[in-house]
Amino acid sequence: MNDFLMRQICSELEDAVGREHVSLRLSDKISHSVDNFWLPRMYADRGLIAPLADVIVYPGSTEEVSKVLVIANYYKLPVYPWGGGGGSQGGALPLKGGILLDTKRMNRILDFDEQSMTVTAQAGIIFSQLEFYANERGYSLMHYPSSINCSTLGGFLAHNGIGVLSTKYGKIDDLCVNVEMVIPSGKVLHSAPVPKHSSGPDLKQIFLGSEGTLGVMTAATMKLFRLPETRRFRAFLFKSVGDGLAAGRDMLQVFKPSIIRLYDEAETVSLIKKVIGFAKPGAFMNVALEGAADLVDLEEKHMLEICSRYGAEDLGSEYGEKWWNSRLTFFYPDKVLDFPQMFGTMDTVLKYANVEKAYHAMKAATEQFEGVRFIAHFSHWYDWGCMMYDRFIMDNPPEDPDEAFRLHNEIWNAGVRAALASGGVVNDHHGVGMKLGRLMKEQYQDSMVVFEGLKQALDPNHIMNPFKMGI
Amino acid sequence: MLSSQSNRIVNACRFCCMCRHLCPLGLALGKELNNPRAKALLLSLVEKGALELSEISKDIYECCLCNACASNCETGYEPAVFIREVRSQLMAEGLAPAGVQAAADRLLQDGTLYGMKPEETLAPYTFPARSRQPVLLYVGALAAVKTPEMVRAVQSLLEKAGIGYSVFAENLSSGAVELDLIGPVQEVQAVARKCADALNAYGAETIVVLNPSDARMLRQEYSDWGIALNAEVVTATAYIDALVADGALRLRRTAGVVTYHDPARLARDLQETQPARRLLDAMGYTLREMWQSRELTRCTGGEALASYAPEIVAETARCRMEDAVGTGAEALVCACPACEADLDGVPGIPVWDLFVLLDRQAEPPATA
Repeated sequence: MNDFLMRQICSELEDAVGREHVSLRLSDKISHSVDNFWLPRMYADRGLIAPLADVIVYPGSTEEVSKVLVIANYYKLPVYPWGGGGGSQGGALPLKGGILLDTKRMNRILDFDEQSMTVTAQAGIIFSQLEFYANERGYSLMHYPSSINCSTLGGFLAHNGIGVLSTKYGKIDDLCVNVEMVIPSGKVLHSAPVPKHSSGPDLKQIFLGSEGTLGVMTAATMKLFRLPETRRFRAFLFKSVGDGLAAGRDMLQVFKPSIIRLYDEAETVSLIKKVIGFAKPGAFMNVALEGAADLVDLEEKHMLEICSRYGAEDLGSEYGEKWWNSRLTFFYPDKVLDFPQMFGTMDTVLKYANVEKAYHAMKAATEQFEGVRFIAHFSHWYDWGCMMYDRFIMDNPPEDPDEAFRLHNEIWNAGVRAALASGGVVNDHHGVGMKLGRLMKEQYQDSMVVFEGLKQALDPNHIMNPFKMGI
Repeated sequence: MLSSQSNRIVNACRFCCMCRHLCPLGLALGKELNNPRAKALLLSLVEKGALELSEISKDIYECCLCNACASNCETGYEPAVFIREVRSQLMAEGLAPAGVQAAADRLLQDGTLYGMKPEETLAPYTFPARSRQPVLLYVGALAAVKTPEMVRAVQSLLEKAGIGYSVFAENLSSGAVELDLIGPVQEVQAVARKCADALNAYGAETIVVLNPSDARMLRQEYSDWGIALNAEVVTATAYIDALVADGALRLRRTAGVVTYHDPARLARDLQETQPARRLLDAMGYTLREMWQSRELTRCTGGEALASYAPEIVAETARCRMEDAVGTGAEALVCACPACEADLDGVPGIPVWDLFVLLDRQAEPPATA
């Protein structure tokens, strides 16, 4: 874009949000060019600059977002909503220049309704701050992903994320009561005030997970839960992953643990020594139960009976308590996967009947690449199936950025295609973004017409978050 | 070129957002640049030659060095280390933002940020004549200029307790603000040495320090730099708390619901969170805690940042006041001149100085 026109657009943006909330600083652009996706990080690691937005805008309200989108729509400029930049799929990257819309100024609590047990907030609030607010009043949102400190409410809604207590409380779409979204025409859309109804298809479910490709989420009402009277942990060692999966499925038929984490044999090898002090083969499971103490007593009885039925060794509660208290520790520097390694989490979700098949298919598909190892655990469980959190790790990827880029995508293609062929999906809870957009058509095939139709209707100039989600 | 220590921290922080929820600037301004990840990412690109240092000068100074990020880092990285080091580089290369350069020049020329010499800041006060006393009161320029009620209240408390004290009449800078503005360079260490020499000349056993930033400097940086102090350094809060515990001061009880703001330096760097709470309790106040209290405290901005970016401090202080208002308390109690200066005039609930409250309630010990 020529400087003359850019100046004109900036002056209009400044009029919309205030001069101090429009930035052309190179440093601002660069800090918005790298999220938690391995490819832009690899670029930075190799001393390269990933694609930059032309301008960064920080609106403070729904009205200001609306004004920004109207300007962008008129000039047909791409708009990339950005929350905390904690996404691992490149969902917020400004791939095609244009306006990067950072939502973090929209951080106000709008309503706290103890009678209905809901809290309404602007979408740019850092999720931990929202959780602090609820905790201060004796409640919790019960959404505890590892990125809780990094990410915004809107970011979690945009990719339909999940937290570690999801087996009891649900994904973020289960925790969200209603949502507000602004589309490029400037209109402010609202889903129904309540999440359950027969007033047509649920708009909330259309907005959530749309990853900024249809509009900008600006506010949401979330459920609140009273802090549980008790939260208890128990660890088990099963002889095989299959036994652990069957036990988890059977538990879900009787009650809902808040956490079930079952590790494959490869991950168990590195974990079990820390738990019992010596190596032992098998599949390690950590379970949490929570709520009213007398109900948890009963659940515990069923849990012990079910795990015993599948021959599990009871390893007590100490590990689980430690894990809970340090659950975020694994995501800090030196503890989380980092350079020089190449890595990726190919989380997928499957019916129980397909889990082991998919596990072996994905392991084979990724480990065909020299130097790649594959590990997995299963940590979000449903009545019908569970999520497989599988990761590939390569210790010494190519230094050359082109080679690394190519190899990275080849591994992802192989792994996700193996998941799709085994009854899985492109992704369970990290979203699609730039990383997996090309594979959406392989999953949905002709059904993509629904996404494409929504895109055309809500964003006819295709300004919203281009090259994401495959639309 | 960064030191190996700073490089290690930059490499650790460049892709990590785990402290974003605590950065007072990031939360107040909503800017991506205002958290350690962005600063480390930019610096890593400077180190690789992909970006000029001059491009990030302003960003490096948009930080109040409150250490909230480090306090929550499970691995123990401290972004303030590389930020201070890069500030030194920016200053040395003449790349610091104009406002910062002006503040640093003022500070190095006058010895204070307030357009007067350090000793002149004490002109409005009446102190005992200089003599060798067990206690030396170190007021500091900030408290002398911005919070005179605090200074007079501490003086009055010492007198009620019958403490023999002198006041550090030179009122030289400890080097704390210089360290934040310029970094740990020789020039700043020279300021610190001059202050230490002057303090030592009083021959006191205890130095009571009003400003927690000065206390941190005297206790931690001086020791790291091999600058000897011949007296124990105690914060005013801890000292008055000890006087009450020893019965040297008696506190009449009153009533009221207050919240207390932990100064970042006091709570995080000096790990001193209980004395103020004990004193409030002893006076009969009911304390309603803000969620971000003690080591999690949210900094109001601080003296250095206020000297070149008052518009940012207005926002960080506003956010802290919102935290306080949210508790439903009738007043926000502070025990730090920098925090009180930041919160001055911010709409919300009244800001009460802890020492003024104490002076109001304090009586000398009962005579036998």
